Amino acid sequence: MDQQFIGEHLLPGQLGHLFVITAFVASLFSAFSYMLAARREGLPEEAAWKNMARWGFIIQAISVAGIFISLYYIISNHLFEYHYAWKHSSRGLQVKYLLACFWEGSEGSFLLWLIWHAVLGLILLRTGKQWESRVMTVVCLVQAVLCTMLIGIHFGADIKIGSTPFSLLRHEMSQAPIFSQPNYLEFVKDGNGLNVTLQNYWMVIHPPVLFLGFALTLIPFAYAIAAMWKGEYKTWVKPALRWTLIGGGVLGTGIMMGGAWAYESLNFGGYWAWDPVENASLVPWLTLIAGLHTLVIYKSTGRSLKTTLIFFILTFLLIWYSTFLTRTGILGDTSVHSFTGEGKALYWHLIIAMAIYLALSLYFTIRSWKKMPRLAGEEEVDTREFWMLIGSIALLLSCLQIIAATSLPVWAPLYKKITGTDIAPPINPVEYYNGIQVWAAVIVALLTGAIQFLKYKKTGMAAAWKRLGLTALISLVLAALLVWGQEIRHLQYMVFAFSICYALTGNLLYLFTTQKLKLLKAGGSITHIGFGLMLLGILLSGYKKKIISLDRTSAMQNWDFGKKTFEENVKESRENVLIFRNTSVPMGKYMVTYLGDSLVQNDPPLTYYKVRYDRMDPRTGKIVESFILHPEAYVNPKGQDGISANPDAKGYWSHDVFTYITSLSKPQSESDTSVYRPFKMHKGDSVFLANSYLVYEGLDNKVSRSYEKQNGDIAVQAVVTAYGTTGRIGAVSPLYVIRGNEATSIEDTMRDIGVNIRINRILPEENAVEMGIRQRAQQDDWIVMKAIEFPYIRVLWGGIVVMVIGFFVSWWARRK
Amino acid sequence: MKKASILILVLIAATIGILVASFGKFSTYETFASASEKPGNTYHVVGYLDKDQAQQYDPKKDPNNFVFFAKDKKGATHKVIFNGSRPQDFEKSEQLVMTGFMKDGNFHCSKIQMKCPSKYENDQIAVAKQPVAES
Repeated sequence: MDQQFIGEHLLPGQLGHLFVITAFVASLFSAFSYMLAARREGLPEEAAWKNMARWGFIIQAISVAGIFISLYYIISNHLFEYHYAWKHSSRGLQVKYLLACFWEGSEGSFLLWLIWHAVLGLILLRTGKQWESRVMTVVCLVQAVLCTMLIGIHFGADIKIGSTPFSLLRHEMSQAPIFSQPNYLEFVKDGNGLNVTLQNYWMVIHPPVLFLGFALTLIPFAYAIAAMWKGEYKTWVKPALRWTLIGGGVLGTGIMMGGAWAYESLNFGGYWAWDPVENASLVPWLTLIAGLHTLVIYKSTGRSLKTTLIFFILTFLLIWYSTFLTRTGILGDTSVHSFTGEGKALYWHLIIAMAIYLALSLYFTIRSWKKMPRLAGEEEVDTREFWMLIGSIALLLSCLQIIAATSLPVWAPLYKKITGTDIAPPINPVEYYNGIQVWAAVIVALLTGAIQFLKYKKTGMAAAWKRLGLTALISLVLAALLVWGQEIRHLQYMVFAFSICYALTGNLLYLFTTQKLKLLKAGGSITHIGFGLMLLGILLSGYKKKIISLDRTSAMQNWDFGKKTFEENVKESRENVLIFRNTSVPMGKYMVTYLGDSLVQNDPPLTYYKVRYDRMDPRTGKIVESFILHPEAYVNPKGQDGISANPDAKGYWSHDVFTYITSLSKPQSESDTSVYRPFKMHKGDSVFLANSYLVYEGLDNKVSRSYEKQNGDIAVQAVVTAYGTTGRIGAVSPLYVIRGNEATSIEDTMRDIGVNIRINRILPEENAVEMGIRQRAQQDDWIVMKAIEFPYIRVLWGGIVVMVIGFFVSWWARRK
Repeated sequence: MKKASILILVLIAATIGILVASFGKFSTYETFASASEKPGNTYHVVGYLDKDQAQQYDPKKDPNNFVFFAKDKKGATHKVIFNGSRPQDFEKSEQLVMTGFMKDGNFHCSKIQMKCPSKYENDQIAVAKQPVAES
């Protein structure tokens, strides 16, 4: 018998689920109709099939919008009978994060991807022209596969296809006894909420951009398949090229936003950690860029067609492979990202999806391999196309290394079977990847600087040598200055510095002399300059990154961290520094003082810590610069134990000073041993405390603070002003409330100086009050923090912005 | 043979060379016992927090010293010395991946990766990471 439950809203979920099924069926229908339209090209039936296919796609798009609206309705109305809303949102969540909790789970991410596919498909509907049927067949097929991720159908007890975001809480946790009660919803007051480390504006904007980038890789893939299907290799080039440019720009932005997020708010100590999740999205971007360059070769010379097609297929497959790596939990112990694994069902689902795409690609590639046009003879060495191809292959090889190392958890079981060794990722992944990838970067950077001076098909080498030589000479001087100025001591980074200078000089020279600064025509040069600046930022910020919070005070222990010198061992082990409130610790060229904290009533509550940095003139000892940073932390959020910290940074043009909290004194209530001491105070009296004093300004029966008021309350507030060594800090107003026969005292706190104050009694006959004041002992109030100096990080961000602008300029310039 | 093919082959050969050469940089998962056979060498050890034994973290004395006991997959319990602050939600960790070396029967580690179960959620991975200074 079906049990009835009280207070559930089942309609939005049923509608949502219906929309998922409609979207799936409509995608399949549209794919099928488009396929028939393509096969009957030129025949009278074509128009009818195409028309049906278009309507199918439009219905699909409306359904996808319907799924979104249903889920958004559920989340924004806090319908916690739905598992998704309960797991990812909570009542106190700010409105701007409602979207963020939308894509916190993998169902929401797939939905985001579906939405972008639908939008891009609608654009292709209008702009596809003679390629519409074939390209859209592929798009619809992929859309149908993606829809199955959300279908959530069970076959028997073990097999589950997809996972619906509309499943009910009581279905997901049917074993919990609470769900035997019809009114269970009365007990589910609030949801789990968004993970506090994700409550950040990057979480609102990064996923949509990244998934738009993912979705955009489908289109060059679809054009590649369509071209092979039709056996026509001319007219697809232009639209494919423009879509690839947009894809490169958007996917690049998405990846780098992830880097900016990591830098700004997560405590990975930088913008790029070669984490598997980061690598998995970088690799398809690199192959897309390689494909972009070989497509340009094909457009200009008729060569490299097959290479291009393979690159686009590979890019699309790698996007799905990255989803496989990040969503199935297969990365396990090797990644710091906490995507929740959906387990075996998703694992096989994604393998089947990838197998479908691979089979489709192989079918068309093998079928048309021999028939593809090819030019007789070979590329000459003195041509642009020759070196562009070499550059693209270098990108591909760099990808192979990254993906092979990232996929370690995938091949480790096999490796163990063969060798018996339980292989693990490198101890220091950053060093490992940097050491290899620096050489790929050197090759690519040198080529970006040099290639523009070569011409397609045949170059007059006399003129080219002159320019290449001039570029090399200028770069050598610049690189020498860079190596000297930045004290670069490693050979590979000296070579890297030279290659960066070469890329920048070569492209700037080309921009000024050959392109005469016609910026709209110079998308390529702009992108390459941005790329060069990005590499420069990577070199400068990575090489000279400095942790300035080195603990020199604690009792030294004889730890050996495998470093050569004592100093290095110290550096390795003591990056966290403890500071008591109102005391100072030297860090780098700063004196750092912890001033106190203040609490923001957020959900969950967020604490800010005030940390003052003073820079002194080493000779005169005068403070020449002073600023305050506010690193934040969620303390024991949502029943967790410990802190979840967000850093704060001070930015200069040349470097950022970065601070975050790594540990804290116990909350006041637990560790405080101080007691309320009574003080009888008349108006104007003051009380001296450590580092501060309080002045009692009198009673006021107008209560300015909010408290839980009831009718008939008689309330007064005491006005007390706090002064520190540098002047007034602020005011506190403890309350005294008479309700019926009872009097209650409501205390107030001045967290800056660690003071709690309350009214013990009012003494009308003496015209005085008795206050209870306690100040937290300074030794009970401290933070442990870490400070890092990142030099020239702005060169990196600036370079990325320039690079992305370059992509869009190229895209815009090719609109006709 | 085409010149492009030759150069590409050279590049591929170089890549394979680099890959093979860098293969030695991969670490291995060990137990406390197998890690003690080569003291001073850094390995990954997978283990579990021994909740019966006390943890020590007193930032006032040393903010970069957190000591606890962990049991590895073979059941051997050893003292672990982590040179960093105590990670969030450490009590609730279900599994630890510790990167470090054995010395005098103690495991000195510079990185801990934890897996935490939430009440109803699947595994979550959290990290306490001590970024190693760039070389």
